[in-house]
Amino acid sequence: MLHSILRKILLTIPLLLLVSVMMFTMINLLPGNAAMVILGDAGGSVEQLEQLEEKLGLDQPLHVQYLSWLKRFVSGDMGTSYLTNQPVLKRIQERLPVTLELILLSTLLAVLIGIPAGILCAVRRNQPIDYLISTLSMIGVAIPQFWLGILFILLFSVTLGWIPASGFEKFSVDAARNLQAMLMPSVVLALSLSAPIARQTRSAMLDTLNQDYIMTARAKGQRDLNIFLVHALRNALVPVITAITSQINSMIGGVFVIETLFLLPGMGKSMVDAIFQQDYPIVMGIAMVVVSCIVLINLITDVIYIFIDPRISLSKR
Amino acid sequence: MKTSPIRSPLLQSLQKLRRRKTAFASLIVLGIILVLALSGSVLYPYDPFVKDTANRQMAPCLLHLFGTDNLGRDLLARVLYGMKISLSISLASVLFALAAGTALGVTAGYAGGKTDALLSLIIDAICAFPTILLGLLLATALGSGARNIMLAIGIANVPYFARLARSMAITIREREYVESAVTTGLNHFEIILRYLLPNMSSVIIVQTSLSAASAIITESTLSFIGVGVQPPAASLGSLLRDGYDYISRAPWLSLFPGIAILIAVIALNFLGDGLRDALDVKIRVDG
Repeated sequence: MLHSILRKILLTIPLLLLVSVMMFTMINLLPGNAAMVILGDAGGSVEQLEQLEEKLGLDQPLHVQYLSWLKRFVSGDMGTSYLTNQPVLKRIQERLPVTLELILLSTLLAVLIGIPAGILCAVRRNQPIDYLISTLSMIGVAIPQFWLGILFILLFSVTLGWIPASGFEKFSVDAARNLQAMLMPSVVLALSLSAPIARQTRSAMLDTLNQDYIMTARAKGQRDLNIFLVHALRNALVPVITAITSQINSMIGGVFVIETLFLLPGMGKSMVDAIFQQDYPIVMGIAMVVVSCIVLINLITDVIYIFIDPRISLSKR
Repeated sequence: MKTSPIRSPLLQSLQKLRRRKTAFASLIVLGIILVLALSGSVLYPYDPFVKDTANRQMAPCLLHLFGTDNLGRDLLARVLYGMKISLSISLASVLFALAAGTALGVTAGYAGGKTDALLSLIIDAICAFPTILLGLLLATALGSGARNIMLAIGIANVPYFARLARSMAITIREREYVESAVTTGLNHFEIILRYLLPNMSSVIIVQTSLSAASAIITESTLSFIGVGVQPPAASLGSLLRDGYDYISRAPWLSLFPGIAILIAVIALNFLGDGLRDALDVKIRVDG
């Protein structure tokens, strides 16, 4: 077991290296762009451009640039923004809390909606409420998150005028305003995430409810609620956790577009802005942080699985 | 002596599919969508590009069923046109993923050893990129536009096909008929072509349908962010992006393209589920 965990951990190093090479190549495919961005629309003389390129190391071959980027990245230097000269690390430190708050709130809400909905479906199997929730979760899987956000804005901001569509404030500055701004984005993300959770909970609960030990518990005269909560739910939890972790990629994508739509100053909005401003160090820094997080979360999930079920062969995953 | 008629596997699958009512209904819905989207102005008289400044931002009415946009263009015509673009991008990207992913996966699973380790590492690396992020990065590298998000969505879908094909190849490789094929002197290429690919085709078909559904969502998201389809071309996502600026005065611009996306995605998902039953495929769908 220890061997397979160690192997898994060691494998993430070449994985992260490969990912960073891919990212670096994509971002630096267009040479010379960076210096022009810094000089701005006014542009500069050819000499200025060349000087700047030399200063930034842009005249070096790509692999040399990559190695020097990697050396700085490992020592914690992610470069500075072309536009504001702000260190990328500082920008990420500023923006990360917003994104984390959004992810935490929406995941929490999604679990609070998805698991009870799934249980309800399993308990009232093939009854109207099951069909209703199943239909809703089918729509939830098929609806693009940004369009659900637009519908929320249309209903609650434009038509009813209850909540403004934007207006973020830091939690430490104005907690009420912060939560108000977070409400619609996190509900939108939560609804979209709760659909697969509800589906997974439903089928996992149905599987466990057919097991012998549930029959035994019934035969012993335990109350239904007790059976559901103590026996069935506990065993249905593993597939539910799988459902949540397998949604990480689409969750991150959702965060990007939802932050952009609701003007939340998080990592996603920052990245989208940086792309249109051609602020490559910011793009590279945020992309690297996001992808590293995903790799780490996958690693942690794998390790947890090994503890839960040592039979899971790592080579298969 | 009575012989049972030999039916082709395709025909059998179609008959099974027909028994699944929702899947068949979604197939019909998809057919209608395709006909409407491809027929252009033959069935529906309005042109998606003709501006009519006298009738700007008209609410839905009998003349313009979906209303008109800020330049007086008929929204229904634009939705049909956008559907054509969205479906083309989705289909092209999934076909790319199918070809590249299956090739990668079969090679990795069939060859095994170091080749497998290396290819699996590449597949894992692609998988670490959320699709939206990959789309944004490729837009940085190659510029915005339909072709580049097609590539991005295609690359992002490669791991799904590659992992399926790899695990199928590993399983099938061990079967006796493959071993006996090796002893008869078939080369690797022939074995892959004759035994491996036909055996995994149903799994791949189901994945194609499901991937096409998610590709439509991704395309619309990237186009909404602004790195996707660029004007004058329009996809369902870029229609929503354009309409969002007028959300309070012309809310229908934010409604109909979204409904169109929803219908197409649900139909493709149903089709995938139905195909899974019809072809008796057991695959894990996660993500």
